[in-house]
Amino acid sequence: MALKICINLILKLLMISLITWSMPGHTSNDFISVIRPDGQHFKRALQGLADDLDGELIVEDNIMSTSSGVEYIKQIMQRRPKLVVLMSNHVINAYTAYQKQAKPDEIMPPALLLIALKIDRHVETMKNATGIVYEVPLATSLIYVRSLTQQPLNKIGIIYRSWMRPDIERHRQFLAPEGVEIVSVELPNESSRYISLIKKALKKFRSNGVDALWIENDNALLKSQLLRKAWLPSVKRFRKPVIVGVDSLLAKKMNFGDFGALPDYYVMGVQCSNMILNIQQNNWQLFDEDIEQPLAIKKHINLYNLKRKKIAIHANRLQEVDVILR
Amino acid sequence: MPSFAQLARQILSTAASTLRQRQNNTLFLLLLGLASVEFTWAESLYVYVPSSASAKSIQDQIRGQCNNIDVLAFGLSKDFHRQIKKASPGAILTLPPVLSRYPNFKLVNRGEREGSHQEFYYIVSLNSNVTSDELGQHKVALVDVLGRSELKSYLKTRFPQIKRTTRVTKYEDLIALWIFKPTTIALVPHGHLATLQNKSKLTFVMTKTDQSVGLPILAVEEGKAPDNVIACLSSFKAPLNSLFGVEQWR
Repeated sequence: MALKICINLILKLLMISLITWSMPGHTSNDFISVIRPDGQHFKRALQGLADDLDGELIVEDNIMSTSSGVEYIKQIMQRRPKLVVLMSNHVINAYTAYQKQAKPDEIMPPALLLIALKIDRHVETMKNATGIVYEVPLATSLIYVRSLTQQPLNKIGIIYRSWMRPDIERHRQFLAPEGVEIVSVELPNESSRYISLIKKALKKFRSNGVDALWIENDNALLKSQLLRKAWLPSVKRFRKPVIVGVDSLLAKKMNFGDFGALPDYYVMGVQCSNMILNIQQNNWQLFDEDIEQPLAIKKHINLYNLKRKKIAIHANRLQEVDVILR
Repeated sequence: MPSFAQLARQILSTAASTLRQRQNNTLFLLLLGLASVEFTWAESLYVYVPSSASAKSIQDQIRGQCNNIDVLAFGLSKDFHRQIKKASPGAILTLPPVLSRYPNFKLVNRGEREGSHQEFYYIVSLNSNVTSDELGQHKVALVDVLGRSELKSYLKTRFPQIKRTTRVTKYEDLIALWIFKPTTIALVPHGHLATLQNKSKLTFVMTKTDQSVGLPILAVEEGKAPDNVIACLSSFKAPLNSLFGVEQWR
């Protein structure tokens, strides 16, 4: 009986090795670990990544719950993946803690960060890490909106908190060659007067000829109380396009977002695969892999709002939009 | 507008749920069974051609034009190939390099623009002129219609000098690349240059190469004669043809 089990086990091991070796372009034991929470968006990004790698590398998928932490990461790292893909702020925080606890001489494989807010700030505190920015850049959103609207979009209004200033400056730099100016209002990082400050900023935008409003994905400025008491009453009087980055702000009855530029998770996975293959080509070293901006978006439009605001659009270009709310 | 097969399925499903409400279980199960059967008499067409229009919009427009065929349009090459593997269609509308993967499909119609079935590739950059010989010094951005490994083989025959690529799924995604990395060099077929110029205020430098790519084609499965699909293609009006970058089909 024991002999039979042993033979069975050996045969299975032989088969696994054979499959592994026969994978196209696959070399020895190279595998990468994806560490992610459960969820549709993460799964879609993983699908894009795996589809694009198409067997070139073994992809190990690890679903990490919010109750797991450094210990979970440690177990994965003991298997020595060639590279790790970290999705979500929780996973990245746990991995950063793992890096901090590790011995100074421990070699860290390259880490690619995905689907987490402010990835550039995480990368600054980590060893051997890069990634793809999660937030859709203003420039990408603007190109989409500009191709649809029949009115000029030369001045964009943005309200942001002080800690986001570097991001706003980056947007400013990206938009300059496209002939677009950012009119911004900076709010303190913490304040009990956000309601009046937001109202004041929006009043300023109405009076100084801003062509559109871009809403930063900042939870602190988009709390339900602020939405109810500051944003919604003021935006109602703002007869220009409002561009948002999350679908909840596009809801028909909310009367808030007119255009939405949301991440395309599948393409983000493909983009990540591209980066992985470049790193592999470079003998698993990060070389010139800068943090990348997301290239593709899912385009949303709220026609109901646009009609109410009497904002004209090129009807023949609606065919380019992914989600249309009527 | 749904196709005949879709309509038939819809009618059967509705009848089944009415019977269910009236508690006629035997008939309900029978009709439900029929409704779930894939009707095979409708000719099917799969479409994969990168376009600024969404796959859903292309699909709806073709369905609106031809309600006697089953149409599925795809925005991603992987989804297109996966679906062909799952259920082979009677015909495919795609680009010639994509067709070469399916030897059991034979070409029946070619898209034509300005009297040609081909269009040249252009090297597009900002500010400076880049020649074909210099492509090897750059990471070249392009729309990937073939999938990573097939694209590699395709480039080997057309642009063997290219060593590193950045792959995107739509031509307009290239604009984002130029905004974030102004040194980007891209390879774009002539018909898509207008997309870049219409959507961006950047000043592009475009250099014609001596390599060309075929315009979209219609191919049918060997041994099949999907007359309705062929008739449907000939009925495409100018706005629908322009989504495929062609003026007519021959």
